[in-house]
Amino acid sequence: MSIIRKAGQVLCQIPPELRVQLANGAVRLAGSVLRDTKTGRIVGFLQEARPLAKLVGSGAGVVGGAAAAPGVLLMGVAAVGVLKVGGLVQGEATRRGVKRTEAVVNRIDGKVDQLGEGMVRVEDKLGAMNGELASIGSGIDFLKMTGLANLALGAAGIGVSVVGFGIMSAKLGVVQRSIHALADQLESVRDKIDRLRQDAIDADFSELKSLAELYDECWQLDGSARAEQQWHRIQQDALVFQNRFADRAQKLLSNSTSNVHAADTMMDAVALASSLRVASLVACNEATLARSAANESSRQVESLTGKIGLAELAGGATAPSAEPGTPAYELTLGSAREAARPLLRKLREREAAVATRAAPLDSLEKLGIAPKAWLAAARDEKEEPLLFLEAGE
Amino acid sequence: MDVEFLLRRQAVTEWRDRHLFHAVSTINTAAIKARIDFDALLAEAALVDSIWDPSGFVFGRIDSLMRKHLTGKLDAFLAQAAEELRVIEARFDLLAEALTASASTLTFPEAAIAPDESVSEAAQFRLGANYTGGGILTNLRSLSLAVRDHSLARTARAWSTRASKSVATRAEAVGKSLHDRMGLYDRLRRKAAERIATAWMGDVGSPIPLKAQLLVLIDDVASEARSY
Repeated sequence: MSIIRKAGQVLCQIPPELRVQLANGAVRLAGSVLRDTKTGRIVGFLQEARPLAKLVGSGAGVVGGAAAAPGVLLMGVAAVGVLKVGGLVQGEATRRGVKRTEAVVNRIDGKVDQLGEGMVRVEDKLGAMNGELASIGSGIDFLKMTGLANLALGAAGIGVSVVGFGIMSAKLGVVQRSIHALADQLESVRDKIDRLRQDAIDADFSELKSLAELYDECWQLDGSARAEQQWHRIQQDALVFQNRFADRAQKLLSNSTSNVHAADTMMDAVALASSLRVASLVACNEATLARSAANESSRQVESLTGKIGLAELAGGATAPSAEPGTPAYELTLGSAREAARPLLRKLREREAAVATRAAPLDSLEKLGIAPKAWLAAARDEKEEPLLFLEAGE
Repeated sequence: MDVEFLLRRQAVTEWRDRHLFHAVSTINTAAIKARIDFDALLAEAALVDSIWDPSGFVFGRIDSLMRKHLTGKLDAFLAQAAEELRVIEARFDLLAEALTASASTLTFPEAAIAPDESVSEAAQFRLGANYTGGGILTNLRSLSLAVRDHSLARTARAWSTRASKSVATRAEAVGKSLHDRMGLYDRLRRKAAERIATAWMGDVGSPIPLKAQLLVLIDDVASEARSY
């Protein structure tokens, strides 16, 4: 049995019982690590796979073609927009089930004489709920339903996110457009122009895209020493861009968190560059270096955004403009807090994603699977957009 | 970075956020109640208080009401926050203990309520000293002589044991009506709101407002916990 086949067997679709646990919250995803919510035990790892391209493009052929990138970009944005509701669906489905059960229980309440019948109805409803959860689809439908699609399509991604240049390019494009949009707002503030310098940023994005394309092309040279040489160079060059974007983010966050939205896009670029580095090292079977790159990136990201919480993101929400000692003050406080939650969630998810990029490497080592084989299996996958690797003992 | 370490730090930041907002909310809720209660005390305000010494009338009363509505609330809040910190990580126990103990170190704004008579005498003195004659001040002074410090109402109350109760009611109504017409109650309400906004719910000031004290306390504990 070849090592790739072995990896292909170990890397599998997310098992149905795990889908149910993910849907009902018994298991949660932190970066690419699946943890038991109650015990904190690591259950396994998720890894993006090539079919993820179906979410950003119209067909399997999109990924891997530079010419298709603009199309990927446009459809990617639309897909992300549509899928933003995905995360809510999971909770809503569970809530609906619970509400229905509660309604049944309420009907039972006070009707002792109908208890037997009521019990049956409760059981029926619970049975229906289980059926509902068990019938959670596989593949892309599941990703949409649980909100995992948003995570996978975000700049941080799930696992080692470089499974194709098309995806990487699409992600870079989305981040770059966000920076352009923010720059329009920032230009009115004189001292911020120097901080951003759009032309330099654009050049860095172009370089990163070229590196991502080169990374992809190196897979065609599979097995050759030249490919590894190129991957090493890619990881070194990507480090330069990672640090540049991190410096920009740091400058934007240096005095206050008022520029946090601009800094956030810079951090997306940091996450993408970091992902490219880890992927390159994994492709070279450099597990130790890959872990080291992931750890160092994680410290970098956490030091920049780790201290930012709702209080900072809500722009002085703990001192709302409304008059203190009034219900309006309370409402303003609550509105500012809720408005800040999506960005906060994004910051936390990115920190976790960057921190866990190399997390499966230990388990792979125990299983005797080479890191490159793991990545190759994800790249060769035909059906599942996310693959599951069970955590080793 | 170890994922457990990262998740713990994220949990601390989440803890900090939740309790920062909860702290502000707790004080604001007390302030809403205090302002409602304060309205019921407006009838105690003498005309001279409203015009010449609103702070003297307002500060002590609103501070007292705020203390009343916060009694036990902050202790419970800090105890709960400490407990939740322990849940994140057992090693935070010392920090949690320090947080609970901090309840006794919080300084509440505390303006004294001047005794009725001395307030009124001082106010009368100031009224006289500031009296320049003519115009609205003359009218105010004469009116204030008539209903000064609700003296009419108070005298009427004293009479009420001997005379008709309606006299007191009428006298009090005169005082209230006068206050209302001149917007003096609103002036006192605004002063109360100002006191809450600065001394209780301000972000800076000396002495440090209660809200700022609590926010700094929670933020400091979170910073310590993150560095563990």
